[in-house]
Amino acid sequence: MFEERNNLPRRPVAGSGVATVGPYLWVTPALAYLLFFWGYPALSAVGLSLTDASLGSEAARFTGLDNYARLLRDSHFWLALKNTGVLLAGSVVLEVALGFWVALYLNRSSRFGKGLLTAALLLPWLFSELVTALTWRWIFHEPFGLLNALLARLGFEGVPWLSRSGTAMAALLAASLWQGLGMSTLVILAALKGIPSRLADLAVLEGAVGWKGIRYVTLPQIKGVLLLDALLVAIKSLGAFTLVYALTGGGPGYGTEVLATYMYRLIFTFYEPGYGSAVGLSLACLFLLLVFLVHLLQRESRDLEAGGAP
Amino acid sequence: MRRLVSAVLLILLAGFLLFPVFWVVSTSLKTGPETFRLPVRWLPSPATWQNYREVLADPRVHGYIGNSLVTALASSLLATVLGAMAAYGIARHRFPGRSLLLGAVLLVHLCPNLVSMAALYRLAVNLHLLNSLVGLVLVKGAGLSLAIWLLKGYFESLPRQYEEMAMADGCGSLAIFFRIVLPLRLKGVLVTALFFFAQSWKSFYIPLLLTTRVEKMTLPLGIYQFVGEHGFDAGRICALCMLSLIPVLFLLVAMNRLGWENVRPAG
Repeated sequence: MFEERNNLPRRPVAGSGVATVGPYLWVTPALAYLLFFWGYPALSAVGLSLTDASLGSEAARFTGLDNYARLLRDSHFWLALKNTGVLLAGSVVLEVALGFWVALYLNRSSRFGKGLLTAALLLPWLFSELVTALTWRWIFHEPFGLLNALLARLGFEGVPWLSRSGTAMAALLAASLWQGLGMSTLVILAALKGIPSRLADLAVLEGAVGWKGIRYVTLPQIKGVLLLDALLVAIKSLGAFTLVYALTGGGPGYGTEVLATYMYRLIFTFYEPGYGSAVGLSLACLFLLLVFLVHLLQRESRDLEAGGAP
Repeated sequence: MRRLVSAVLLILLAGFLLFPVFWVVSTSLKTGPETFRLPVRWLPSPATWQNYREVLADPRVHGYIGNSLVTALASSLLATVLGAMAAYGIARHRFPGRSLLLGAVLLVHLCPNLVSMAALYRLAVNLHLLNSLVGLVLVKGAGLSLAIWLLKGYFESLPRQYEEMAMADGCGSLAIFFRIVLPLRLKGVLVTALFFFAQSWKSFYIPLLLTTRVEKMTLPLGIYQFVGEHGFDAGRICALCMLSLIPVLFLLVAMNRLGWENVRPAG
């Protein structure tokens, strides 16, 4: 807190003419850049979504909200929305719950296999989203994949994992968990390390050990971080285009199609950038909602800090 | 008993995390026929570098790697320089619109330009940036929002005395930034740049959007070409995947040396 106040920008001292435009000179290049390569496409996507544009043709007609009306009637859109929700909810539950559990384990002093576990958690970070998707595609491959080899060893029939909607979605969740678990664990572990040790000691004295200690001491202390982690996982899974595109391709059929891949399919396979942009903007609304929640959470934790500081 | 259960679960988890890596390594060392033979063999026998030799002899792969290196380097440089300047301005000045700007930066960071895919594609067409490395660099540079977010707190933690002394000596603000602030905060700026390099090296969907010609493809897109050609060409794909990890591994080691703790997202 103190540091923040100390370093707060002071009133300009000398040469105030320069000092008032000064900050803008620093931020203008980045701002102009972001406006051009992020802001402008975002705005023009809104415009595009109000037309019946098709790639290559300049004669796009303004059709008002027609594309949005079409969204409501489009069963593929609703399926993609549902799949997006399943992937999001599944990733959040798996990554936050398992991350919490692993972080608790790593936080205890001197446990067996800590180094190996940490390395195993960090290893997937080396893999890009594409390489992750291809790795898991090869694991789930029918009949030459690792998983079916494992089943065969145990005496089971092979399963065509990626040709059934349910198992294909499970494959996506597994790949997403594999890549995201390390980050989730590290975030939660950092929060656990931040719990004052006298609080933990006190809890033990009061008899809050094991599950009780977690429930009444640990959880309340890191609630904010768990929420933030959940939101970040949710945002990541909304944007998981590459993972779905390269692992299942949205298939079988539209079985694992999410909003991001449905948008891509509309734009680049069916040449409907107008309607595709409408799908993109509905995805953007979900992003905006989550970003707003992150913002609220950050403001709240800042207020708490400000109020709680001695 | 409970300890035993949790030990078993943790071993399962470690297996879940490590087995995919094992499977990729194992496949990359098999010969083509051995990869596609039932029953599936766990380990290659004999292990061979054939897949690696083949992909490394492929001139297309040289192009993929070169394109990836060039675009990753350029976009990391672009994002870090612009991002560092903006972060410095935000860290050291109060000005109207400052908190709005920070909010916008957070929004841009968290909401990818994925959602305006069609419009982005049109913009690239109009600027003749399709199938061009410059186009890839420019579009990827939008990641600079993260650089602002990472470096703001880092510049704030620098005591102001250095700058005040320099100002008293008559240094201009640009000189102060480049000759005092940047050198004093070089580690964090380097970590940010390395992080960006890794991000860009891994990126797939922007190259997918903007590239159709083989000679302009980056490595991830190039790897994906092996999926379509003759079905799922597992041996070569796995070899390329392993090769694609090497630079990221080096970057991770370098970032560890420089210290992660130097860069922390500002609250």
